[in-house]
Amino acid sequence: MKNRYHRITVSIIVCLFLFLFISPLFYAENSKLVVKVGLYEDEPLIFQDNNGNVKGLYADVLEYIAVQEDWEIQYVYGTLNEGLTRIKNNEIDVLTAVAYSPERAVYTEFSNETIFPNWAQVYSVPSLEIESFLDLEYKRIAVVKDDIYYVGPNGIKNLKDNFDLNCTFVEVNDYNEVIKLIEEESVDAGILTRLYESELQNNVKIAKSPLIYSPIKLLFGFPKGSPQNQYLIEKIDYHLKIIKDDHDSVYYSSINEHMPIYSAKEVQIFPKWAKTVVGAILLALLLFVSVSMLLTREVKKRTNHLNEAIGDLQNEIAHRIDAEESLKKSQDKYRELTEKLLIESKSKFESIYNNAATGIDLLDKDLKIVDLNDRSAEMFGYDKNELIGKSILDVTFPGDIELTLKNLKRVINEDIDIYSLEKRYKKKDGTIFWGEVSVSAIKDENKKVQAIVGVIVDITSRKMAEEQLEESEEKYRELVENANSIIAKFGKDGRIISMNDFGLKFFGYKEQELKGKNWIDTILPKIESNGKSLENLAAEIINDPDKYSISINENIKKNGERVWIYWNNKPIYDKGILVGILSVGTDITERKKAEENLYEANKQLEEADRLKSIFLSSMSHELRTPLNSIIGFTGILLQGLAGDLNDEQKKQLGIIKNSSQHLLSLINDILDISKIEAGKIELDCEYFDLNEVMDELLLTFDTMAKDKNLKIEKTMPEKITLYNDKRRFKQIIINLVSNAIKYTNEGSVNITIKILDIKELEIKIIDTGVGIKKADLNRIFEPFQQLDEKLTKKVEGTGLGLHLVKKLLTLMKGTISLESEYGKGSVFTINLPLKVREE
Amino acid sequence: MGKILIIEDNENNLYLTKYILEKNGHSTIFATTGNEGVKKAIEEKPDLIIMDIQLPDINGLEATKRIRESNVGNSIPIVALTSYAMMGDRDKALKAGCTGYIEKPIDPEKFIYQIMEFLK
Repeated sequence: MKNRYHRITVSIIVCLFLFLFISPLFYAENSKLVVKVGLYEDEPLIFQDNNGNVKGLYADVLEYIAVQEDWEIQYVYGTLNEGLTRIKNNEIDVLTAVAYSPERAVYTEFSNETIFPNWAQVYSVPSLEIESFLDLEYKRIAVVKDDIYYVGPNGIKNLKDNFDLNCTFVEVNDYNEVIKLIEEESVDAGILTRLYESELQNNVKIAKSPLIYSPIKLLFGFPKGSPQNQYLIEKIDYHLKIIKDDHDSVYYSSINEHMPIYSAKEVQIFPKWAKTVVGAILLALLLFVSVSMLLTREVKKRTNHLNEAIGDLQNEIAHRIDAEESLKKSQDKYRELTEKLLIESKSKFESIYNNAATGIDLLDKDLKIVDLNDRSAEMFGYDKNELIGKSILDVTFPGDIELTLKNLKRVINEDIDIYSLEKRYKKKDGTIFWGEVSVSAIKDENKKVQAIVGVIVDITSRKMAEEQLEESEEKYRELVENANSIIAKFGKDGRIISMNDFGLKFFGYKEQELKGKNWIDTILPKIESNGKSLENLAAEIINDPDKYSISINENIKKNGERVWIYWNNKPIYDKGILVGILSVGTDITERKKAEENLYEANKQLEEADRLKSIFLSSMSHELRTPLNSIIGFTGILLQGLAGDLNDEQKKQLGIIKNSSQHLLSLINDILDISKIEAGKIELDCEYFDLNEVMDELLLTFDTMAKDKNLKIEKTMPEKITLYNDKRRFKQIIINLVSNAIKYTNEGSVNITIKILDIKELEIKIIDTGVGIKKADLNRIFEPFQQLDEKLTKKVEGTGLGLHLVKKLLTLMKGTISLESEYGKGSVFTINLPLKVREE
Repeated sequence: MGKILIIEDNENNLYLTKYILEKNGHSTIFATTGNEGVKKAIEEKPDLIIMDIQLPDINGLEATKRIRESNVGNSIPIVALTSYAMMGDRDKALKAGCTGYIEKPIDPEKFIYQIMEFLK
């Protein structure tokens, strides 16, 4: 009962209140008030549809108020900029969808009630990932000219300055143009408002970034100083407040229609408790009004004030909730990002730690290894786990333990914080490596040593190189001191600066006897035994070090013995100035003597050679001269020129003839071989027709072959020109063919000549003769090797023929080889280089 | 048949050459030294000269040169008697102005035919 009564009371009071509040207006205005409303394209807040009808939240709200207040709305369409200009010029009464800014406030009055909280939303082309304002660096951003989100106090223009960004703005007239530019990728990004979320939800050409900023109240604007402002603001604020409070009002149906995405949220903007509060305040207000009925105007005034306060409160709440949401979103994002970065940097650290080129070890104060990186384990040749718990001294080379311990103790005792040491470590396999370790202490906040970090660089190769260098320097020193050469430094004037032990011993001096002395009259005579003066030797070397880089001169020992030294002289420079000579000397006295002997011997040899040639020449002449008579007169007698001979005489003269011919052959062969061996023979090469020569040769064998009833055959290409010593070539062929005939009793002798390639001639002499035993094949080309004892008697020959053939062929850069089967025959193969005739 | 000058220092060989040539119907004159040979060649203007290379005073090559340089000129064939063993003798002989050469020791049967060739 009490409730019902209460409700009735409330209704009465409300009606009363409404009557009191509204009635004066009905009486004040008799005809319709024309309200000029400026609008610009700001869908879904206010826009023109395809038919030119003005639609949107602002339109719906204005129309509702117009009906309530009996206004006539006249829309004046334009851009935001134009709308603001019209306000400035007092050409319109109201401008829709305008937010407060101090600049605009100069010429604009604003309604108090917001129609919709709004904020800027950054959109971009899909390829860009804009996650913070910093990502807008160097970007082209489309903005609506005079837009509050562009030039407003919290607009992007100020943000740009505050963030110190280098981005450029492309100003356009409305948000649709912004969208168009992003879609065309004429810009990188653009500034729209939250209201575009649903429209652009499925647009693949444009991406919503998480960046929002500048939350503002969308208000109505009025030209400043216009007399009806007070009235209009009052009415608009009043109605707006009512419809925003009523979920069945035109406000919410319009939001549902134009901005469905926000309808649910908008419900949340006005939570139940808020309504209760508002209700309570209203109730209290109405109670107050009912109690103070007479104070209507006062009530009205206060009501207005309170209404304003409530409106502000509502907005405040709405903003806070939105802000909280976006804050939460960005916090989540931030958390995700930092977690990601943390994980990344942790893994980066681990990767760096383990893959570092240096070994890193963490020791506790007992010098036990607490942790180490992979590289360190690798250096020691252990598995990581094997090393953890081990003392660092366990992997230190025994000889370096004391040193290591001494230094580590200084760190533990806080004498020093850090040290660096080159020391040897012991690997698992027992081998040693050199490490350069940098050790530092890790201290707690009380500056107490907690642990020790060692960073080890493997310097084994450097150490080895150093050792090698040291060794080689040592060796070098040893080399200088113990070299079997005299090594000395001389001043420019020939003053002896230093000399190695060998040199001192060699010359028979003690160091102090030579040091500082001039070389003349110490180790150098004034005049060589051959009369050459050495007094200016130092000057000569200094003046032309290149010419005297090697000098051979006579030196003198302390005991007066003269020696010949081969000196290698190098100028010594100090800062580019020649200051002395470094000389390395070798005693060549013996060599010099040997050379002299050799020279003598050579001279004698040359003389002997000359004599030999003369001897050969003489012998050739002297042996031939009597043979000429013997052979000549034997021939004359056999010819019968000196009278007839009886048969016995003819037979005996025939023997003389054959024997003297044999003797002549022997003489010729011996002389040839001697000359070849003495290098005295020279080939007398010419081009000749091989066919012609072969035919000529075969003709001479004709009688010989016919006597034995043998066939001689020749196979060869039609035209071969050979470049050779024709006479020597003939000599070879005669030797081989006559041998073949001699040792063949029946069958044939075949000569085949082939060109193997354009550079080689092959001549085969094939007989069906007695052949040669395998064991004798190698001896056949040696002198005086007639192999078959029995045959020797039958066959005449010098025993030098094949030997000479081989020698001649060698001279001709040719070869000879032999294949033979005993009893069946032999094949001699000659290979000769074939010189192509150049014509 | 012609007049043949034999320049040869060895008595036996001179006799041999002279004998073969004369037996074959040639008339011969001779000299036993180079200088004498040159003198006789210029004075006698033989049809052919047989020149031994090794002679006691000037050798056969020098003698040949001198004969060629003399007014008897190039008309007389000069045949050198060369040693087969000495490489280069033949070349030297031809260079010095010899018309041809016959190797020692001579083959009496062949020798006369060789001489006939040079006389043609």
